[in-house]
Amino acid sequence: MPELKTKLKEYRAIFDMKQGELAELVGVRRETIIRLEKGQYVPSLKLAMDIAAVFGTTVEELFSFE
Amino acid sequence: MKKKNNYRNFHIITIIVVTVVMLLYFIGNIFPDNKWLTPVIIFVYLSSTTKLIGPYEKKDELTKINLGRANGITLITVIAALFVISLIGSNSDNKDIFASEVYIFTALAAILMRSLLFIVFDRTPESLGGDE
Repeated sequence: MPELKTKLKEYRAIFDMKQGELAELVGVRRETIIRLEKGQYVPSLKLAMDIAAVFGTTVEELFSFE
Repeated sequence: MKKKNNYRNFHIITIIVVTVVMLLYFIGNIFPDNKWLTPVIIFVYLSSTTKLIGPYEKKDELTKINLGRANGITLITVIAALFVISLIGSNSDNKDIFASEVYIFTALAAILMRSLLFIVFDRTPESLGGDE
């Protein structure tokens, strides 16, 4: 089964944003962001687009399957 | 703005209260007149999970998925438990098994199991990489 890879952590570092801050911006819990960063949870299209919008990038840039 | 409580706390409170209620039923002889005990505990539970503790954070999609998994497993278990109870009861001369307490315990156990499963599914160990 393909594994979710994400650049969430790198983008957070660039924007100097904490997990809790990102979670609040996209309306989820911090636990969800932690799991997303570890590739343990595949987000809905809406959440993926909301996160991409926060960083001003695309869903494809943030998330990929390997 | 007041910080909202973690939704896990709701289930932790549920686990504690339901466990206490079940224990009080088990040791019911210690409280001979305990007919008001359960309503009081339910009131305390509802108060503590709403007004006193404060608002909880909104359920996000991961919470809903984990709750769905917990609900599904609990539902299958309850159906299986009721099936076994009815099988035992119908093949036994002792019809006490159909006493209402059996169903109260089944209901309490289901609530307890749902919250326990949610806590297990929703756990986020620090090793997963929290930064705060």
